[in-house]
Amino acid sequence: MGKKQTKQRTVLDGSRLIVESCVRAGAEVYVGYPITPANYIYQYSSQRFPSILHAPDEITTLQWMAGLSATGLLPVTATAFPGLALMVESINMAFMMELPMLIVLVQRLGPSTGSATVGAQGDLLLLRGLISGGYPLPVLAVSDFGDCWELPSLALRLAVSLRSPVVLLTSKEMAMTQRSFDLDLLTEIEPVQWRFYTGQERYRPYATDGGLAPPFLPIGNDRHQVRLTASTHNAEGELLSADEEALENTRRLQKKIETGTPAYYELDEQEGAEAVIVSYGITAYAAREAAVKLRAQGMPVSLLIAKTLLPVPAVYYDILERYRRIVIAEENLQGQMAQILFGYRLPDRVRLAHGIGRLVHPDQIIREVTGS
Amino acid sequence: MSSSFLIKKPGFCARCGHYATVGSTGRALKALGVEPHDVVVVTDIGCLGIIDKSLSTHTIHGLHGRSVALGVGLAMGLPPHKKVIVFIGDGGATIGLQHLLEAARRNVNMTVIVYNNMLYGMTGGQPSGLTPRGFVTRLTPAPEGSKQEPYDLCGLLHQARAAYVHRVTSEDKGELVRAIKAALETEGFALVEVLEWCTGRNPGVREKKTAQLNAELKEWADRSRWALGPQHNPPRPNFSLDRSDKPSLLEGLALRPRFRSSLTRPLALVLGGRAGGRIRSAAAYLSRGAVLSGLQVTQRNSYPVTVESGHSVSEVILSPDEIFYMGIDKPDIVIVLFKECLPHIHSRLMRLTEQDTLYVNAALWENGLLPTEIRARTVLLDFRRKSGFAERYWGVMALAEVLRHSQLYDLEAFKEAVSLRKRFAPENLAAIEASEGLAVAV
Repeated sequence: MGKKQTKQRTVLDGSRLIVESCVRAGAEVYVGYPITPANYIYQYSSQRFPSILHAPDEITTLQWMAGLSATGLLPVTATAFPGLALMVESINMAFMMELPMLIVLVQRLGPSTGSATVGAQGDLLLLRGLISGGYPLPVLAVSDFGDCWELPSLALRLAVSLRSPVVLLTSKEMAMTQRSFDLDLLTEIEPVQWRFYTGQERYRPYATDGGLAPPFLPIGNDRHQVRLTASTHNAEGELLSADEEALENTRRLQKKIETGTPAYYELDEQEGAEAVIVSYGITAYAAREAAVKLRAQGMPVSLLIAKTLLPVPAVYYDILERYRRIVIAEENLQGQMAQILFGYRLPDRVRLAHGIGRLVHPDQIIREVTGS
Repeated sequence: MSSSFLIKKPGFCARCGHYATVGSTGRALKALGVEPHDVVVVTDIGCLGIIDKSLSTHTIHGLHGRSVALGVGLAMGLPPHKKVIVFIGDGGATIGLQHLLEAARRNVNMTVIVYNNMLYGMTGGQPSGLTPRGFVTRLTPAPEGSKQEPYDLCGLLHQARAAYVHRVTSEDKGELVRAIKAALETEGFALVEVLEWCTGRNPGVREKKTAQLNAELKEWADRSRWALGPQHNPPRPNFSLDRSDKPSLLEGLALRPRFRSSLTRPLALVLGGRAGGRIRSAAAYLSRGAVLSGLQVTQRNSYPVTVESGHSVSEVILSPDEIFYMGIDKPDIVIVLFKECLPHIHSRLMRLTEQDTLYVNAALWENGLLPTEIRARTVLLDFRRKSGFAERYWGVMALAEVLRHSQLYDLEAFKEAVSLRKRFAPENLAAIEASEGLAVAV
């Protein structure tokens, strides 16, 4: 007998929750190109999105999304590394044009085609450097099915409020493994409010009036001319090279994402804990299990599940400072999050529980917490 | 009358063909009475890409070669009376050829104007896919010039079923305006290829008279077997963005737990079969039956690269409590139906202990296909005694027997899970009934 009696439970995969959440949050168009392990998201999207487009490749996918977004429609796609690689230039374009969209990245084992059907968490460093010039792109990672429900809508909200592409990061086992899930836990999702410029004065597409993101106005509208460009530009959207006004606009993009991306995370701190386990995405399950086991053995340990991965929230450093040992659990060979947080040479107090080709095991994490 | 299309003189080189292309577009729009707010101009990379600020229309300036795809996205998001015009050069058309073919194939309502000056002008005069054989560029010097044949862009697009394509020279001004006007009036995909001179890379042409420039462009067209003039395809519907409300993906998924399970700790089960054996479906019934019994469950399926081929293994964890980590190091129960799964589950078979149970197809066991070192209690499943049931039922039959023997949860819950999938329910339920007595302990 289950401990908690629920009224409505089911068995499903994370892809289903992600797609349903996107549509409830107001995403209107899904642009798809097949790739394992993102195919479930494409399949569900074709059953659920008001509009579905079957693109001939991933470059086209992103270009169509940019065009749709410029007209005021909210687009979503899902891909894996090989598709993301083709999208990179166009994501830079959308970032520069300031076009809202959501890209769900379902990670699989690389490099290159790697193993399409094996999960991984190997793309964080790539996302960290995706925008030329090192500008941050918001990246949120789902750590359980609750997140598969909550985070897509938050990511879409962020995309609209910051006028930016946003990446929702997940991996094969989250997108494809079936799990029981209590439907009663699903919260209401309010549709994203996309507010358009209503002023009478001439519209300046990149003028912010002191805010972080400029007000949006769909291209092709009847009232005001809209100029969008991927090149360095001023507030009018006029191409200028290294002009000071244009550079100031480019600097704003850094500030917009740095200060405008909320810190989403889960922190479970224990009295007397000397170690903290840090994880994200699929490995968060192993991290939770490790924490439960350690505590059952009488060893206090804290747990930080990061959901906002990029830009790195400053609060993570405040939290981590409190611990003598930091165990970072992620499914890659380098400790990519660890590198982003602490650099190439990790301080002695930072330990990795990591690897490729299989899920990080809770016992790996426990060993790093308890080992000398 | 519409307002002026050009509000500033663009800064092209003297006598550049772009002046004619941009000016003729403005004249065509004016002749049609199209207002600037009803036009979105998409510019590709190249000298013409800098005209945005000279235009009174909406403008969007993107990446090299991608402007047609960007234009498709815009055209799909805009009402049909809005005009999407893409300006792209021969270099852009080369790198983004797929986007042009795709837009034509789909008959997207847009006008693409290709300014073909037969080389990359902005970057130094390199040859493109539309550089004629024999044409001299900085990187394909005289006397041979380019050694490759160029694409016949209009021919390709016509083959891709473009509603309207038209090749014209920039020096034939009346014809150019007529071509662009016809393109803008076309319902569907229209492309005008304008043969131009890059006066920056061909300085000699600046001194020549219009008639001579025109004659030389026509000569290059002739040598490249580029037919001048229009080509039509029969009318067909435009590509448009269909919109419809669709039901929730969570509709009809709810299972109301009403059975009981005596399970007090997590239990891991591996079901090994082969592709086409409905292994994943059988495991899904087991998972849903578990949920109907108040349990938590994870089900991780093998996923061959080519769907419907290769191995088929499902890993199921059942637990009275929340399950976090979904990997299985050592199963409590393994079911082996076909030999194809053995390489994939070998290590886990070897980890089984005396407390665990192996259910194995009797035929495999008798043929000695399983490692002899397996320590688990072994139960044979003799499907030969149930010969009325095809292999695709063996998964549910085996699981029904496991439930009868192990009492993970009530067999009735499994039957209810099977019943929920109505299309297959009668046959599966018959198989479950017939499975009783299938298992024989070794």
